[in-house]
Amino acid sequence: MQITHSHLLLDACCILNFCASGNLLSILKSIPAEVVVTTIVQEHELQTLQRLDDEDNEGANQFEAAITQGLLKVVDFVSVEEEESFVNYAAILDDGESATCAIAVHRNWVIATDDKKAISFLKKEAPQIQVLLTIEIIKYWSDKEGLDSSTLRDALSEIRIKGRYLPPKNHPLREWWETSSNNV
Amino acid sequence: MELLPSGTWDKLRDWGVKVRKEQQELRLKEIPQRIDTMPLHYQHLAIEAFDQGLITEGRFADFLCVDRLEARRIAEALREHSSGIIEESTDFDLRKIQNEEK
Repeated sequence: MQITHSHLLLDACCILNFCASGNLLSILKSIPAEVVVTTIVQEHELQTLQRLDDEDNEGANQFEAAITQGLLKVVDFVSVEEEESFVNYAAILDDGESATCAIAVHRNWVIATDDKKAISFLKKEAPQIQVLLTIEIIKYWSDKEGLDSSTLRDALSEIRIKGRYLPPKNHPLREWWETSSNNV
Repeated sequence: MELLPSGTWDKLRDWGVKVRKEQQELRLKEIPQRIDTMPLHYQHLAIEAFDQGLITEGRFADFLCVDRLEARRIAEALREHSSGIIEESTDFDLRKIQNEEK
């Protein structure tokens, strides 16, 4: 995985998956770029993260800790052009995706999302924007940290069960995901 | 239901009571989100649009009036339900029925 720009904007679906893994902080530390999230996504998704783990609110706690520790920066619109793009994109995408795409397009930042609609929209409207998927970031994290097979298996299992996420069937890393998930 | 005097909600809101915080402090379980108010056909149309990449995950959740996590759970259930329908319809042989009628 190569990140071609200075910043990586995380979309809501990826945040949910990383928090579900129970390793948000470690994943963020491994990413070789400044990792950011939009104010809209932060405000919207905090409640969803609180539902990830009823017992100790682990999902929301990880998210808040990442912000407090400066591993995840929160950004908002800084120009009228970004706000205009947000309004225009919101007619096609949802609010979180629109804010993420608007900021990424104007600042030429990388986006991390798994959303089919957002990915096809970006390919059409801003093909220069690099898009990364959950599976690519998890693979990178695993390689960089040199995770042992049981730690990786547990993280993938949590993403599957708590986050209810599976990577696309046709993704080249899907086989790696399945093998790593079944490693005993 | 008239279980509380009218204006109670407004008073609580004016006092700055935070519902989620109170729920946590009193260790009350969250009330499950209701999706059974949506017709099943509507839900299937929504998942079809989502799976085809016509709408985002957030929009899919909005259509079902639930959060993203609940939307993923519902999406799994709907896909399972749909695959059941497809399997049943594969077994259903219209020609066989026509021959039996003759």
